[in-house]
Amino acid sequence: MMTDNAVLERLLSDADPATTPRDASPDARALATRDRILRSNGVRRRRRAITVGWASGLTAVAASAALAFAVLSPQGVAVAGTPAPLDFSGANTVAQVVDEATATLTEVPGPSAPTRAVRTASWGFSVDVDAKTTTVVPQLSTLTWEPDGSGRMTIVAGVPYDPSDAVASNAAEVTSSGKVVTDLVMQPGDFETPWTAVPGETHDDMVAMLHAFGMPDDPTAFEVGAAITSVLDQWTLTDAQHRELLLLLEEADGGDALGKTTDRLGRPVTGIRLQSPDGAVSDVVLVSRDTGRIVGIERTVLKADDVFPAGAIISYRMWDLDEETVR
Amino acid sequence: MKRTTVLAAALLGLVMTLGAAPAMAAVQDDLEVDPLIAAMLEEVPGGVVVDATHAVWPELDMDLTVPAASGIAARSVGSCATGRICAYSAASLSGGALTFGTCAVHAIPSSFTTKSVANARSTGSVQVRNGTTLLKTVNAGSWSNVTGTVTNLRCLL
Repeated sequence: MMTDNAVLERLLSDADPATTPRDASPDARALATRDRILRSNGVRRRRRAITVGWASGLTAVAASAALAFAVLSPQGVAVAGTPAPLDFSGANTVAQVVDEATATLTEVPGPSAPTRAVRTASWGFSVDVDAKTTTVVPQLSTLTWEPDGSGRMTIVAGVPYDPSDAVASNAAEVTSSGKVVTDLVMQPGDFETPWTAVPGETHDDMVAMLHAFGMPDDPTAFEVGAAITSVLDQWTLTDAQHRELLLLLEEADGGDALGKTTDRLGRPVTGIRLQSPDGAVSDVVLVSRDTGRIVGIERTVLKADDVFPAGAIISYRMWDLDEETVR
Repeated sequence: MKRTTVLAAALLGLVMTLGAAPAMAAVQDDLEVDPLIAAMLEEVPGGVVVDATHAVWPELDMDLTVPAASGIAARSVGSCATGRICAYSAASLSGGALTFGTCAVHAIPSSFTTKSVANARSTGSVQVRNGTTLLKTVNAGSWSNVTGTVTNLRCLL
């Protein structure tokens, strides 16, 4: 059903009159229509039963308990079940999302300085392209690194679930199994990154950093979001830096505010949808309503390709995991 | 003769011996110095290889034996299984993955953003490319983070 939703979403997009750019923001009527369709197909709001136990703190970071659960079709297109889309409600604009986040960032204290350490809960597929088999890879990972390129990546497997269990498959929760499946010790020079210095907090500092991570000049919102994802996979940034990142997202064209929801760790968030310029995928950036910080991103395939079917949510990543949020 | 030369000679001798093994014995194709042994030989000078999983350090009266199975785990790269090429959606071999078991030019769909690549093959290299533009070369048994848009992985024997 989720596949149908996204395909329908794309069909609606394709059916737009030519006077409307493909990447234009949908108007209120379009949003209402989409929401009505989404609500009508019985996709239930998922339970927020997340209990990501970072078991023994940082060591218990996640992993790749991979559960083979799907076989690619003879045509080579994955037919695996994917999580249910997040259920957003309420109308807002990107400017409103950023304004509210900015206010919250001011009120709620965040990290005092940028750090080269990130904890991530992620869910995604591991696809054996030759054998045409797909595996679910829920992970909890901890990355720490140093300017000389040394560091460590520890990955704890998420708890596998029965792929035929529709509720589990829809929820696709990332809960720790406590089993370390990857402990990658990086020697100096191993961790290659285009940005090693502690970044400043100004607009220009953030632009320079995003450029280093591949953001082009005059970027689309999707391109800004992609660079932000790369940065937040390697750095835990300050509130001031998150504010600048959100402003850059607002300045770029192509972001659609989706309203409010709770993310897959049960945290209250607002969503901004970013469609790729070629229409192949869309990313949803999740902004915490508790902290104002960017705390996650999800990717949905809109056009089927050799590996994934249209409509599949193929990955999500969530940051800012701490012991208060992750119980 | 320097110790490193002795060691190199010993390793070469071992390789030659193994390479000359009859076909019957070649059923086990893992007859090379276990990576843990090799790492220890680098770390502690004076070691002499006894066999693939056994080395001794006469001056230190130390010997090291590792389980035969350790070689299998050691040759995988992160979660990238032995012999495969893996593209990951996040840095340092985390996130989702596309894995390939053959040595060829493998297309990466645009829906998949490659942030790191592992090459768990025993020989050759993998070119990480955007079209025909080389972004990074990842040698056998290693990995690397990648910046830029990856559209294909080109395996070289």
